[in-house]
Amino acid sequence: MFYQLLSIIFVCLITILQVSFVPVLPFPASAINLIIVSAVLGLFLYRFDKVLLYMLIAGFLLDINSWYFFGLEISAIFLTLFITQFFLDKFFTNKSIYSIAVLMVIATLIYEFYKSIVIFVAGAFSQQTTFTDFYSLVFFQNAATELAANSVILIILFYTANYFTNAFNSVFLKKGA
Amino acid sequence: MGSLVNKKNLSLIAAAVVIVFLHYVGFLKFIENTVLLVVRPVERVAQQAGSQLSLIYDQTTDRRDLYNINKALEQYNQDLLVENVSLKALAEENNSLRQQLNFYSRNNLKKALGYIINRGEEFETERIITIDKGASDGIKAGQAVLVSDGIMIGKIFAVNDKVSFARLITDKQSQIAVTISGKDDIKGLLQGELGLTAKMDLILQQADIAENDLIITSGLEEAIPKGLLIGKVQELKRDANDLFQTAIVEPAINLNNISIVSVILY
Repeated sequence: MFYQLLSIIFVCLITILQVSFVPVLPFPASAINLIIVSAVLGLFLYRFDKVLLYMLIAGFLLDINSWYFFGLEISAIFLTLFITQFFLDKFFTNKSIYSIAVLMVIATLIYEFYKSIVIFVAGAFSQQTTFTDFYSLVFFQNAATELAANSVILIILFYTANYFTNAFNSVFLKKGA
Repeated sequence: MGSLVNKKNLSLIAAAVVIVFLHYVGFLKFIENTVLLVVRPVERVAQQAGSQLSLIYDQTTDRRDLYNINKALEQYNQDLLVENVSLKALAEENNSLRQQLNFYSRNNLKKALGYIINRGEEFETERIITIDKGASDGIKAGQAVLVSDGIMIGKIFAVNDKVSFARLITDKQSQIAVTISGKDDIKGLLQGELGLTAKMDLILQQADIAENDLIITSGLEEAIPKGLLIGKVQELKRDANDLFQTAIVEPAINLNNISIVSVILY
């Protein structure tokens, strides 16, 4: 229980950092998405339902701090988690840095594209924004920067976690063991 | 996908849907406000920390940018300085050439213009220049070397086909027959003195000579016309027991900053 409480506080802190700390950092550090990084890392370290619960809390905090409509962050995070977990189950059998990096790319793309599509569709009725205006070169540049920034953070966290725990170490199944 | 659809996951999805629903019906207002009340101070601290970090980064990059700009400006300044110096040198050259040409056309003299290509000062008393014109240009030993508007600075003492060598008036071995401007009866021999000044010897004790009197060539030498300015009397050395008096002569021009000279083909 205590451990779970600590985890929830940790998730809250990560979310607060994402809301208040990261956006004011100089570019490209401001492009980091700690929620996605934590979610992907969490999928490797914890059970899926646990990650889903923690990310529900993170999504709730993001939503009450967001100027977009409530539920956007929760739905984006949930969709990202389900699809990423699907890829993890079906295509990535080991816990190497390559698997985690590819999953991070998938997660970031799903999260950003889902949010942008929903925001665009919601805004299209009220604003005079065209598709080409919305998905301009800047959008893809920002997405690419976020991917790069997330990858760097993820690699650092991966090696840090690998140093302190054996969660990412390969497991050998012994016959008859 | 099957492993993803289980009771726990579905209940969490349902919880998310309920949360969103409760938000829109207004049931979550109290919880949201309470959470925000708790979270706001932490968010403020995090925001301030991020801003400080960003400020430090900006200041560092600003300093780096300023340093780079400063370096670029320093380089630009140096380039301009070099350009300025070369332009000044060109202007001086141009001026010197114009003065020398004026002098020759006024006095109807033939000349050979040349650049100083070397300076020999191997010994303390030695002041020699090498000119990039030689015998093939009509230069002979004993001819006068001039700068500006007829100021004599030395005398040719050796000539090759393409280059010639002149002793400046301050060279210890330099000897030029001179007189005082406006006092033609006072004649003497100008000799170099320790490479800095020259002295006019063999001036009779009773000769009327004073400081700042102008020293000019006397015309007694075959290859040097009369009236070329050399310098002015800086100091007089008289001894009542001596037959002659000596005048210390300061050159009319700084001999260290010369690049173009002319030789009178007299």
